[in-house]
Amino acid sequence: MKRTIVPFGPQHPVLPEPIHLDLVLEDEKVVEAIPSFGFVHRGMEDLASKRDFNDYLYVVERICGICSYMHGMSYCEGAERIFGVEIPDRAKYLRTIWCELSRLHSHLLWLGLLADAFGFEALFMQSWRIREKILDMVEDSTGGRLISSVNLIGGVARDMDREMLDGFVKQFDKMESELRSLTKVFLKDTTVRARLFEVGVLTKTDAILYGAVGPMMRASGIELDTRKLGYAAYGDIDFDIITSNGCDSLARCEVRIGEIFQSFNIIRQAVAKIPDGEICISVKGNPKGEATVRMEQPRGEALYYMKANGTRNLERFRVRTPTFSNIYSLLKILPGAQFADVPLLILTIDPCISCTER
Amino acid sequence: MAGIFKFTKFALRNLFTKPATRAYPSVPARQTPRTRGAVQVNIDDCIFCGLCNRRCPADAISVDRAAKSWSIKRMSCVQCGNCVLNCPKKCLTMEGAYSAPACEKRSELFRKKESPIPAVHTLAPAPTDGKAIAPDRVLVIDMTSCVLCGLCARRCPTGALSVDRKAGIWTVDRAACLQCGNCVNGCPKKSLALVPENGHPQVETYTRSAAPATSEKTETPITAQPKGEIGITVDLSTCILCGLCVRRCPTSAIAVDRKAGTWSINRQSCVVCGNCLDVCHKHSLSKTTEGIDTSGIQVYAKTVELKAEATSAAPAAKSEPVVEATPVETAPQLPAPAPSSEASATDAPVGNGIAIDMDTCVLCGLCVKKCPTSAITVDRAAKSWSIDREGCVLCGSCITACPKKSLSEAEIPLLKTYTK
Repeated sequence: MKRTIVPFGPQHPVLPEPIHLDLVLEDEKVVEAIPSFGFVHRGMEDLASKRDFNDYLYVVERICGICSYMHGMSYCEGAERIFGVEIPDRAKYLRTIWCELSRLHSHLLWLGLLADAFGFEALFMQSWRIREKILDMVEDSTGGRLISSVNLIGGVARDMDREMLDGFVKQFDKMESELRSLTKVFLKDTTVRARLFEVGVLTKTDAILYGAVGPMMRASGIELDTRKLGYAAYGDIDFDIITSNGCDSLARCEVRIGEIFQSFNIIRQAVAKIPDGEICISVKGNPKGEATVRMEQPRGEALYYMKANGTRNLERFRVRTPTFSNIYSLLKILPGAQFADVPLLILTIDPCISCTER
Repeated sequence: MAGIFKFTKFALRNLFTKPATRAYPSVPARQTPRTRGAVQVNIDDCIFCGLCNRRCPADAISVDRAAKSWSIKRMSCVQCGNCVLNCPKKCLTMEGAYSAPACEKRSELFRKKESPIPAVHTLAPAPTDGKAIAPDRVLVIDMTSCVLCGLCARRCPTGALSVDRKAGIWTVDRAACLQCGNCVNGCPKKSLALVPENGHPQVETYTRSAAPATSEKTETPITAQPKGEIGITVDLSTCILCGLCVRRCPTSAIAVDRKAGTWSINRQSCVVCGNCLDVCHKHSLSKTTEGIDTSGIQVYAKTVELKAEATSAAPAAKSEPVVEATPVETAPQLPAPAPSSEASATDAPVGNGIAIDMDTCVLCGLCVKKCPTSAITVDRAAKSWSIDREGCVLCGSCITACPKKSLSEAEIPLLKTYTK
């Protein structure tokens, strides 16, 4: 059959992020997808060797807007490991709470975008209405809606008092009941199911083979979550890894919805257990040594590598973001899909191209 | 098919609820006590230490200690709050209100209130209608004390000032002048002043011999070096020939040749502004009122042998101790002995930093002692030599001091540690 090549992106209405795909079509069916990248490369890894490592934290936070908190935290964890310091327990719990808040708003953002991708505008608005409350909580506690700038090497810059923590938890009950009726639409509505069910199947074997991470991997039945490594206060918190055996787009949606409810529970536990005390210790001098940090970002596992040589600049700084790992799985699920499903499939990996290109 | 009505409840409820959005900007944005809107400065408490400038990841803040001014580029600021966190005087705060939207990249300048100059100025490109900012004061100059060094023109943020030394002319474009006072603060001779508006023309030119007719001050013809200070002298026993004075001199009157060990000054170019005195780390320079010839180039040489090489007047100086500096007179037209900056430039390779050959370095630390800005550190235990490229002023004192000739000027990255 005659083949057609349709360019997708870097400017595309469904995805305001610069990824370019050359889609090779046979009739309406995708047979191959050839990606190209590098439209927003900013050289952030190299910049680390020219900036004071303390101040570079604020640059790292700007690798990505949505996972900003986790980037800043991973950087701090890495620096703390090089210095060999242990941060106060209260700071660990505060970090856990902010981590989960950022997961909540990231997953709610994704739900909205997914609804938008299959043309369900009202669902999109409802998801973002709930997300807005989470953003308000983030602003109440850190001072910024997305870019928190609240991490420091050695702890956190701001504390949350009992009143604020209890206030957050109190709001969760109402949000959960609203979300429950909303997620019923995502999982049970016939029109939504028609767009998601058995679309973009990534089998368990393929997920391992192509190195999928995060909800993408867990939706293919692999039970792996780097939060179980016990960084921050996750070691003290009781939670199960949410997986699904559906392997399709609906399963990815299901896993993320499950993780939203799980995040509420993790914050509840953290608020109940949080100890009193210091929130930051002072860390002096220049780091020397290297550290590797694995963190479960909302989009999946991120890997940080930092090497310091005793000066005020890092010698090498490397970030592997979850989207970078998931691109391979995306290229696996695209062939065989309908052309109309391509925007949807790109969204199911929860892409963040700015993260990927740094 | 019941699945198709899952959303009906939502849709119906949506019809009867209030909008979830806010009509920003007619309704102000939500603010919390912690909201990071914009950085504000309490300029009266500021000590102009410049820590905020150094810690800013976006290079949005600049601090001028001499002019006692603090300015921020609002469009560059990323509201990270690092400056607020690091301010030792706690004079910086993060206010909740966001800075207003703007069409141009403006910066705000704050000055310490010592004169009745308003604290806030908008450093936008010069406004098209000069009267828009209501200048109630105008900039005037006292040409009797002005040495036409040109520092005011360099410090002017809007390019309103121009100085022509040869013609002896100083010009101000009052339409572009913002009355920020930066020139007044920077003037080494205190010739400039901001006075109440009194019928000054928009562009005014002052000349050395007499002020324009519009100025109330009637100027008397002046001599080249007013008020008795006729020149700069150097104490070579403390001078390390770093060359910072050469860079700072507005009239390029000073030349330093590290190889020959000489410091020379062209007395005809020198305007005795005293700028070199401010920059000298070793306090080797001083102003003098007598005892020098103001007609030509004067060379100060560091060692006896070099003096002999430099000029025939050396025998008289030979009896002097080595450390004692001896001024050696040279006529300006004599080409050979006067060391010029070009000569040293051709001798050594030009670069952006100091490089070291660790094979020959013995980690003696002499370079550390000689460095005027303490940019070099030597760790004998770790066998490492490191240099802070931002602190290094490329004076070359270390190159001269190095007994093993391990150091040289080269093109290199900003911060580097060398290990054996």
